Amino acid sequence: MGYERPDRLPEALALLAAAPRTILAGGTDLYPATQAASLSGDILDVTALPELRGYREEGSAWRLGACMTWSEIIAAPLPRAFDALKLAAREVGARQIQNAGTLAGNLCNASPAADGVPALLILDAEVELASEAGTRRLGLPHFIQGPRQTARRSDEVMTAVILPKASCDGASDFLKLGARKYLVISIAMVAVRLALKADRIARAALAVGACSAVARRLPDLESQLIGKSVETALAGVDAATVADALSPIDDVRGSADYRKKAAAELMRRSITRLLRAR
Amino acid sequence: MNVSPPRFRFTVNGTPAEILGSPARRLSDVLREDLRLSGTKVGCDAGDCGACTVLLDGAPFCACMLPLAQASGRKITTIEGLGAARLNGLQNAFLRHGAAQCGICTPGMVMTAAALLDGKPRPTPAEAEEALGGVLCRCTGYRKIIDAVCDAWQTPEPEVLPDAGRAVGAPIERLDGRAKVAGFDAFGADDWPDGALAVRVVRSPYHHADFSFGDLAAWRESNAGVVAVFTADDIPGRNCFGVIPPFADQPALARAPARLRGEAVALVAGEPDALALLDLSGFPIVWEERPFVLTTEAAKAESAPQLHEERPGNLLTQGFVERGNPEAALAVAAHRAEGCIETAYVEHAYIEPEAGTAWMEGDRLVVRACTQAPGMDRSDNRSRFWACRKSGCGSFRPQPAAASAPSSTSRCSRWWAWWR
Repeated sequence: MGYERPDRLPEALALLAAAPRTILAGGTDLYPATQAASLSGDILDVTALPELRGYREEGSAWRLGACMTWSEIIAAPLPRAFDALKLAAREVGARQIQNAGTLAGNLCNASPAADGVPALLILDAEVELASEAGTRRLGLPHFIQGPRQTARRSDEVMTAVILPKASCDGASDFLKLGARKYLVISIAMVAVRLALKADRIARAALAVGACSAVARRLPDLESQLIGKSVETALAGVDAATVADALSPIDDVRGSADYRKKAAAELMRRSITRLLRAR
Repeated sequence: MNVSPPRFRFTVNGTPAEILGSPARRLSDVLREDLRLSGTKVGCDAGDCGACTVLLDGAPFCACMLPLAQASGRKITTIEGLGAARLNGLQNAFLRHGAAQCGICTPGMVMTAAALLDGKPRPTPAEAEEALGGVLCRCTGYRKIIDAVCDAWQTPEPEVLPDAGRAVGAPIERLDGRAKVAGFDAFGADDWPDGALAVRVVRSPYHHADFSFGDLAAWRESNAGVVAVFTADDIPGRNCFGVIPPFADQPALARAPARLRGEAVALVAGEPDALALLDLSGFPIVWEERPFVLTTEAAKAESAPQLHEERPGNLLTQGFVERGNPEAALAVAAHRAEGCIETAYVEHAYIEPEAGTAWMEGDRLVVRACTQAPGMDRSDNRSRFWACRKSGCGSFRPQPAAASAPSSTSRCSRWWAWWR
């Protein structure tokens, strides 16, 4: 078994080019998946790569390092459009998990209930993947292909999440429904970003997680909200319009029917909360 | 290219430590086994319970999900390292408020709270709740813990024990509380003899299945480091256990069939390092799945497979709780509504591993284990022990004498065996 923890990105890419490895960041998904006292197999620990840490403004985009932890995201002074991401970060497990778990880990693990995905979808997030062959960017909906399935090739490492500033206007909100307040996997969650102009909704981005194989934007409902006033915004937000785009499953955490109702209610509450706070 | 460093250096409670070993090892394992700092508890190995919380450069982390390699060069603080006046204040507040009940979550709670109080000495209850959300407690209902954390800044006069003859009705500090808040109370999994063998458990992958073993001796011989394999055949006397004697019907190691997914059917004892790497996929056992049911309703059906001969209808016990006079109340009620109401499922979430150690002292069997019913356990063990001695199975030869079972059937199994 080989465990490598390089401190330079080219070394990491050379290792991946040579042979596939399990990529380890915060460990909050890999360790629970084994019963052993140690991880097995060939591991690439990416937490010592400086290129993957921190965040910065980069021209017309925000760049969040792939290994930013949820705690680092909560502490970062980012625009109001990132509030949904920060609220989601506060609901990832609990402090212990937020201190270890990373943005890239959440995306690469590709759980349908990944807390970070809806909040990134409403910011039109792209992921940056690096390999010895070069660097490419993929929109988040193209990166996450299904439960536990991503477009990452085995020779690639996720280096950053890129948020175009054009999609970072307005303010955002996030709501998650779980069986208890901490340490829970979502039954349903929503992220909402609204930009207002003269008291009317000028831009809307809505996403629902844990109610389909991959978290989804709701483009029909988004366009329906454009031009609506604060008073009329909720009129068409109901179980039908929200659930249309979803395909929830029955599982131990909730039935499909319950998820549809919950998602619609969360959406109404989240939109209301945002409009009230403006 | 970096070569994995063979040794890792960090400080634990201010003292430099150097560990040789697999970089992917869980830090909780290193702290407990290599450094013998067993104040850090392990409940789930999955980040669900928070009992293993330690501070890494001052921030709380689950040590069970931290690879040894990532601890390199960092400052680790465990419950054993708390000592500053303010932190003692926190531990005192836990004592004062009765926030440590069984105590297994206390080290994790105290460490998590210490990180909060470091930046916010007088948190609000809401802030304390958010900070402590990652640590489970099954005893207290959390109220006393939150009270203790919010009250940790106070330094009230220490309670004095009441004079003889005036103790009844007087509040006193919990007599075994100091060890719990200081982290040196030894629970069942915290004490094992040096040189103990490790045990891996072979468990049923099916809810209900027949099974038969192949050539166990040959398999043992062909796996270096494996010392012995035990099955139900190695258990003398009555092979069954349970918390309440009349309800006891679960075998310690199943004799076919296995009646639940995860039921233990064999133990493999051996050198700890070898067992950690042992591949159990080649263990000589053949399974044959049987029909199963998973709900109470299905188990009551006539066609349901019967689990125990002595439990017709798959019924262990039944009860019905009735209070008051509903008919009379309904007769005078202004409104009536009918419906079937189901209460929510509540996860019991016990954290302490079911664990213990046992050894022979001359003719005496000494058992050190966690239990809520030592009297029942004692009489149960006594009858079993004598039955065994009379049946001529000698001095309890190679028995897995100490065990640390997981807190749920889906979790890992580290059983410790002591070789007489």
